[in-house]
Amino acid sequence: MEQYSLIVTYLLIAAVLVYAAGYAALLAKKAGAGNGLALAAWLASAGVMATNWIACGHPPFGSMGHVMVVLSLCFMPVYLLLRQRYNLGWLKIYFVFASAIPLVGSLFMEKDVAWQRVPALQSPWFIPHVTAYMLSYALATVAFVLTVVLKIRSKSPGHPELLQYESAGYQILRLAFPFMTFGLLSGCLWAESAWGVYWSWDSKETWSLITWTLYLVHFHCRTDARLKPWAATAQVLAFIALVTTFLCVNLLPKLASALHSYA
Amino acid sequence: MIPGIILLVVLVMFMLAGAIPVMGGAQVAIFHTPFFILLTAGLSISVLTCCWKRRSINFRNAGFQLTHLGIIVILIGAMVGFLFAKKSEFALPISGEHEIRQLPTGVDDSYFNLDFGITVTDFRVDFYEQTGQKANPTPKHFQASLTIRDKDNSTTKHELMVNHPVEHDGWRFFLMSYDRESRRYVELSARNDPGRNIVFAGIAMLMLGISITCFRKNEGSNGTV
Repeated sequence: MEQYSLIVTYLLIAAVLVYAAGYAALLAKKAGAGNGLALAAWLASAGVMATNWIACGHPPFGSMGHVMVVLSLCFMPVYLLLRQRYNLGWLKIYFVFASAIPLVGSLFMEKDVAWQRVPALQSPWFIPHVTAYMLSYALATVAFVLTVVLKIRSKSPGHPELLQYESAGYQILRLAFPFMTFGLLSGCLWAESAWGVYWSWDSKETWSLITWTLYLVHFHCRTDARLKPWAATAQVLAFIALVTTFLCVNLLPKLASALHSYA
Repeated sequence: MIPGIILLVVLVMFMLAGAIPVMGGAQVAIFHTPFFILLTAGLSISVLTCCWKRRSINFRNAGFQLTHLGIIVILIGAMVGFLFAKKSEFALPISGEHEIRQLPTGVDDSYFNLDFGITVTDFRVDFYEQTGQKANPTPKHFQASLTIRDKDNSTTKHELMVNHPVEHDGWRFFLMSYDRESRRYVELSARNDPGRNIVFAGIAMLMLGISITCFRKNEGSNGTV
């Protein structure tokens, strides 16, 4: 087990450094080098997930350190999809940046490589529930970064590309929302088969519903001229709630969730 | 739409209040207050008004209607459950002889009477191999064998596992835990919730509606959701 732990640590550090190098290359407009580095970093983090999987013998979705790696792995495939479907290839640099963040988080968490899956987690819902949430979190993060960049740049005049940011953020959130909804609803169905209650106001559940409702507020604000100025605020609040749902509920003992004590 | 948004914001504030930790998890009580139920009723009315205003039959609108009506159906199912669901948590000895025909309601000393009897005839548990300094091994799998005897004395055998409830006569039984020290009893939870299928139908509608609405090729950044 010791050696697995070491492999995971080294691979994580390597992946973070290579993502940083890729980010720098893209900033310097060296697209070829940037692509190569991003791919190498993605493969290194895939190696982390594979090592975790081998070490614990189950899909490595159970501890926060594991899930952060899965989240990071979601960014690049999502980027490729957006480039294909919505012509959003210019977002690459944001995705490279966002990929590195959860890996840094994972580095500082307990690397419980030998995590053991308790019976409640042995369900067909396990993989779809976590994957859908990780996809939606990856997408929502990029949409959030776009909104922040948009708000900062719109203070100084003369940025014709800003309209593009606005539209891209919206398209990304539209893609994120069904996955988030699936994560929420599959959680209800799973809870019902494990404990007999589809909803019990556990703190993780309440926070995830707060997040979902705030995104709902954001979408509705967009459609009404009088409410439109509030849309960006709603999105920022929704993202803060998302981070609280994902991290704080598990990491802050005061908010501890009885039912989601694993991740 | 503005009243609807205001209600959603109030709902968020309610949930924030319900997420503030209080000793013993007492904050959850806020979701059972009449005010919260009034709030969800207000939201339902606002959503229904919205659906009525946009009634028309085409594929684009189908996503909108399914999403919004799905939420209403979930809330109706939850209300039915809130009013009529029977729930019980109890321990059952692993003896093969001790049969129960009454489930404690958890309130006073009252019971739900069952039309059948339950016995736990057997119990098995497997553990993960112990690693490191962990004091207690983690259970890998546990299951209980149940025998259910109906009024006409016919018996059926069921294997009850975590994530695999046993259903009988409207009741669903869930394996929650077991006696870790001496394995003399198992802890079960039982539900009889007439709102369950309504909620699940609403979940299906909501999921389908949101998929149609969001995966549809959109008409630029100002498209309606």
